[in-house]
Amino acid sequence: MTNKQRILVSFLILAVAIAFIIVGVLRDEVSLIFNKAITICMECVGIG
Amino acid sequence: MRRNWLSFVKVTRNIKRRALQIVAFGFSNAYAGNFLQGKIYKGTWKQICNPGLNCYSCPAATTSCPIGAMQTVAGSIKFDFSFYATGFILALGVIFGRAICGNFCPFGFLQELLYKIPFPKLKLKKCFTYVKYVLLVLFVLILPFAVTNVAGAGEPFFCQYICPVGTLEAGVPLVLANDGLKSAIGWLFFWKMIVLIITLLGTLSIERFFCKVMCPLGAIYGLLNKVSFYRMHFTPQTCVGCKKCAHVCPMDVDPHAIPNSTECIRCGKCVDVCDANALKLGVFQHSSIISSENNIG
Repeated sequence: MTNKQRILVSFLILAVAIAFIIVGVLRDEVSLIFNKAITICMECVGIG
Repeated sequence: MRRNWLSFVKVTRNIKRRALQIVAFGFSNAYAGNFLQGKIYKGTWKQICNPGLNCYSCPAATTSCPIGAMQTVAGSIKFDFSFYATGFILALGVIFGRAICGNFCPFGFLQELLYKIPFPKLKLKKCFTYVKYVLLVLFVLILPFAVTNVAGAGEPFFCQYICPVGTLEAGVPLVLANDGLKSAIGWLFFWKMIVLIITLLGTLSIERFFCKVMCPLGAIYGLLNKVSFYRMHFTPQTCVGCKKCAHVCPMDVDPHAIPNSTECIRCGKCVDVCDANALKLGVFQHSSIISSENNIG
C-alpha cells in the first residue's frame, strides 16, 4: 500500500466511524449503554 | 553538549507519557470515594466510552467500558450490533492506533506498575498473542448476539466469563463492600478470580501480559495501527541495525523490522533509545527524513 492509499483508507475508516457514531446515537444506543453503566453489572462482578 | 540536551529530551518523553497515564487513570476513575460505600457513579459521563479498558462497574469509573458497551448493545433485545461503541473504537483507533494502550489505558498503566514488582520475568511466545483475536471475535462480537435467552437477550460473554479488569476493579471491591453481593457469589465469581490471579501472575512476570494475550480492545486498535494517522516512521537509510529498539520494546516488537506492528503500543521507548534517530512517532513524517513508507506503506 502506498502512503497515499493508506491515507485514503484512514480517512475512509474515520468517515465510517463517524457515520457509525451518528447512527448509534440516532438509534438511541447511548441510553442502552448508559442504563447498563449506571447499574452494577452482575456479569462484570462475577455473579451473573 | 548537544548529546546532553538530547538525553534530557528523551527523559522528558517518558515523564510526559507517565503524566498522561496518571491523568487518564485519574479521569477514568475519578470517584474513588465510592469504593468505601460500595456504590457506582451514575452521572452523565457514563454515556461516553472510555478510550481504554476500564470496567463501568468499577465504583470509581467515570465513563463506560467500550468493550462492555459493544456487548450490551449486541446482547440487547433491540439490536445485534453496536454502531455507537464500534464507531467510537474505530474513530480512536484510526487516529491513534494502539497509542491509546501505551498512553491512556488505565489497566495498561496498572500493568506497567505491577511489572516493576520483583518477580521472575519470562518472555511470551508469539503464538499466545493471537488469543486476544479469538476472544474478540468469539466472546465480544459473536456470542452476545448469537446465544440468547427466550426473551432474545444475550449476555456480555467477555465481561461475564473472562474480563479480569472487571473482577479486579468491580467484582472484588463491590463484593467486599456489599453484604448482599457477598452472599450471592457462586462458581462464576471463583472462576473469574482464577482468571484474575492468572492475569496478575502473568503481568508480574511478562510485561503487559493482558495487552499481549487477552485484550480485545487492544486487538482492534492494533489492527488499526497499520492505517492510523499517528504512527511510527522508520528511516532505513539512517538505521545502523543495532537492534536497541527491539531489546527495549515492552511488547516484544522489532520496530526496525515492523515499524507499525499490530503489537506496538506507541510508548516511544524505541524512539528514545535510537541513537541514529531512525524512528519517530507522529502524524507527519519529518521533512528531512526519506521514508520507505512512500513505497511500501
